[in-house]
Formats: sequence, C-alpha cells, structure tokens
Amino acid sequence: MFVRTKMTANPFTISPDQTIPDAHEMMAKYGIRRLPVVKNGKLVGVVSKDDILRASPSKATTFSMGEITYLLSKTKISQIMTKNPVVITSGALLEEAATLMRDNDVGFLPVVDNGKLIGIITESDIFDSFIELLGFREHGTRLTIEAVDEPGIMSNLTSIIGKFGANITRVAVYRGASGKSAVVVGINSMNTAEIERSIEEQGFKILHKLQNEEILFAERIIFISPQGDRLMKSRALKAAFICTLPVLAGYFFLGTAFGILLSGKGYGPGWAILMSVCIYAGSMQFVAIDLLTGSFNLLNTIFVTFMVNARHIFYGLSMLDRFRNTGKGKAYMIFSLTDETFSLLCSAKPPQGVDGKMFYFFIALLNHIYWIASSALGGLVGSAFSFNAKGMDFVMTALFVVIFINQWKANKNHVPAVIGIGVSAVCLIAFGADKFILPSMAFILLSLTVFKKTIERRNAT
Amino acid sequence: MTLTPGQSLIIILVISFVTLLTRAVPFIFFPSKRKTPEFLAYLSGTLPLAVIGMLVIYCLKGTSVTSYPFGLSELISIAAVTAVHLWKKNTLLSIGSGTVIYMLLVQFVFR
Repeated sequence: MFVRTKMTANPFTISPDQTIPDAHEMMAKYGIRRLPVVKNGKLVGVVSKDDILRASPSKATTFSMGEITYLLSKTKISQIMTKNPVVITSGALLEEAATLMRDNDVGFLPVVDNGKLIGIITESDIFDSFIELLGFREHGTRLTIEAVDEPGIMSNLTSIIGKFGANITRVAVYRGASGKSAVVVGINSMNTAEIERSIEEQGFKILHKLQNEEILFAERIIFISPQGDRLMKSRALKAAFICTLPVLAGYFFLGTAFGILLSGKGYGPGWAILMSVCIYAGSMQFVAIDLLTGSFNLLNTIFVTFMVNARHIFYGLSMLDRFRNTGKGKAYMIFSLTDETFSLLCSAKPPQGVDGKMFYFFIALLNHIYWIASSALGGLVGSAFSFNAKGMDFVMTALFVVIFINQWKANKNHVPAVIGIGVSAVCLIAFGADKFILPSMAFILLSLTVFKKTIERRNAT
Repeated sequence: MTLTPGQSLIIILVISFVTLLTRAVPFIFFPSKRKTPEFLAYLSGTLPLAVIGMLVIYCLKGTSVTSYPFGLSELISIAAVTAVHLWKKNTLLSIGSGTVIYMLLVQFVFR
C-alpha cells in the first residue's frame, strides 16, 4: 500500500516566525503532537511537543512564572524546530515509510511532492494499516494456524476452506523458527466449526481464533481464544482474591456471628444461607433477626429496612460512573454493593495487565461467597453447640471502626469523617436511637454541601 | 420461631427487595447515558468517609451512657480495636480481639 492512501492530507502547519505559545495552543486545540513548519508553501522544518518541552526551563528554575512566560513568548519556532527533517513522497510504500521512521527514530514524516508539503504520515497510520492488513477489526472469523514450512501447505489450507464455500479475506504468514510458521487466515463467515475441525484433521494446529460480529473497534472485540480468556479470568480472580482478604476476615467473623445468633432464634443454617444469598447486607441481616423474632408487620419491616440501608443510595451515587460500562455484570454489581464491597471498589485498583471490569466483578462475587459460606458455617455451629453469644454482634462495630481507621489514614482531609461522626452523634442524642438515621443523613448531606468549598480547598493542598 | 415459615419467608423477601431498591435507586434516576453532575461527583468522593463515621455511631445506638455501665464495655473494646489495628495493621486480629474483649466484658465483668 502507498503512503498517499494512508496519510493525512492538508495537515495543520505553523510558520517559523510564530512563537512557542502559538505552537502550544495549536497542539492543545487540535490534539496533535507534531507540526510541520512551512514558509511560503515550502517545508523548512518540523516541531514536536518534545522540542517545546526541551526549550522550556526545567521545573527547578529560579525564573518567576512571569519571566518564563515572557521568555517563551519571545522564542520563535525557527529557534527550536528540527531543520531538514526526513521526508517521504506520496508514491512511496508504507513499508518504506515505516523503515524510515524506525531508522531515523522519528514518529512522523512530512509527505513532500516536488518540494511542496501535501500531507503527513505518522506511527498511528502505520499501526492502523498493520491492524487492517491482518484483518483484526473485520467482520468474520480469523484463525491463526500453525503449519510446517513445506511446499503445498498453503494450497492445502486454502482448498479446505474453499471446500466449505467460504471466502478468504486475508492471508498473512509469520515465519517462525524451527520450520514452523503461523498462518493468519481471515474468513468471511461466523460458522467455522466444520472448517476448524477439517483443518485440525489435516494435522494443523489452531493457535488462536477471533470472531467479530461486525466491524469493530479495538475495545469491542470478542476474544474467543480459550487460553487467553481463561488466563485473563484467572489473573483477575487472583488479584481480586488478594484485595478481598481483609473482607474475608471481617465477613468470617460477622457472617459466623450472624449464623450463630440466627440459629439461637430457631432458624437453622438453611435460613442463614437463604438470607445471605437474597438480602446480602451485613447490618440489615442482624436487624432482620430482630424483625423475625417480633410480630409479623410488613410496613414496619419496609420502613426499618429502608432506614438501615438508606446509606446504600450514597454508594450507588458514587458508583454511577464506575458501573457505566460494566455490561452484563452491572445488575449483579448493583445488587452486591455492600459496605465492604463498596469500600474495596473505592480503594482497590486493578494491577497492570488485569481487566478492570473482571477485577471489580470478582471482588463483588468473592465477597458474596465469603458471606454466604460464613453465615452457613455460623448456622451449623450454632445448631450443633449451645453457648452464650451475647456481645458477639460487636463484630459489626469493630469492622466499621477498622474501616474508619483505614479511611482516616488514607485521607489527609478529615473533615468529612469528622462530620459523619459528629453529626450522627448529635442526631442520636436529639432524635433517639430509633429515629436518628434519616435526620443524620440529611444533616450530613447539608454539612457537606455547606463546607464544600473548605473541603475542596483542603483536598487541593 | 415466633413466626410461621411462610411469614418468615415473606419478611426475608421484603427485606431483600427494599435492600436492592436502596442500591438501585441512583441507577434508575441517573441512566448511564447522562454524565454525573459535578455536585454528585463531589459527594461520591466525600460521602463514603462520612457514612462510615455514621455507621460507627449506628452500631453504638443501643449503648446507654447515663446508666451503669456507662458505655464502658464499648469504650474499652473500641479503644482495644483501635490500638491493635494501629499496632498490627491486621484486620482479622483487630476485629477478633476487640470482639472477644467485648464478649468477656458484657458476659463476666459488667453483668
């Protein structure tokens, strides 16, 4: 393929008499990193973001901001540009452009015909044509097949595919060591099971399979490579497991305590499992024990549940952006948004190379499993032995105290934490134990709104 | 069991539904196409910090400081949790030791 088909024609240019702030503004405005410098229609140089950075004083400078701005505004592009840049003609091959960029260690080439600048070609254009060449974003199926390097292999492969009436859209060969090559074949069909079977029967090995339902952009490609998918999942699971260890500890105590307390009221492990699967809200399940031992009052149940769980509305608000593109798992992520899962989702970052969506999903799932298993264990223990569990509900208090300490240490700004404690304590005294949660929430919201400026200023420093 | 299994089941299902509702409300009112308003973004950064504080108070709501033992069990146990957590930084240990201390206090010391 030729440079002319992939280049950007009529690129933005700058004159050598313009200044650094001018170049900076253009780059920021159009989201570009490099500009050809043109005088009277002729290319005289190129200027990149790196050139500008190099010309700017280092951060350790003793100049004042005013002096720096003045100096930069006096520096002309002609002083910092790269003169006599490497150029290419529009009729050259893309491979030549790639080789030139690689050998001269540059990220883009001005395209010049008869001394006149007609376009630019960048690394990204080369990457695009590479992706296109291998049919990576195209509709259909793409098989990567391992083949022994010997005569007749290609005709053998193509005849198998031809036999099933499929159209080959792409062919590429990676020549490997030890006489084996990887052949990339693009096929314009989604039903390739029989073709695959036939290929494998002929002694080839399918290394990778990629299927695109439609013409896709990189982030929407579905990988069907079994090893790849499993590897991604196991990596995300491992990373999530490490993150959830503190919750495992907390849930182990809380869940077991819940199971024991519940069984003390005549509800065995089956009930504990049912509640942990369906309700899945730690503090609410402790309150539910009270509700189950009182009289049958649905209105009261609804009201109390709402009061105790109203804080979850805050969690949802915090996660609106995070859950935006979670796709299929979104409903489960919303359902499983407990205090602990929420605090992990706030603080845990997926390690490099781990898919964020999978990572967060596994955090939610693992926590749920810990909770169910612990409450089942508690139910079993509670039904088998009888002992005095009085005071065991303190696990919940201890858990929140620990989370509070962790957050206190992780944040320099203690204003929100102090508001939370202070406002709730005042409301508890003013409204009484049964009615203080809703007023507390209202006053916390009010205080955070009133002190928004102060808090943001403190966050900034 | 003071309720019949059927009544218990209904209570559990109602609790499950209301709990799910509290978690889903923001997603119902702010569908994913709209960008979260700036004020909500601010709240999502600061509210969690305040809410955990509120939950600590929520756990202590049944504690009476005006009659014997004047909330001493809670005070001592929370101090223990804090000290152990700052010292060992081990969640399991902090929660475990605090709870055991509290159970000993309410069952044997401040009866």
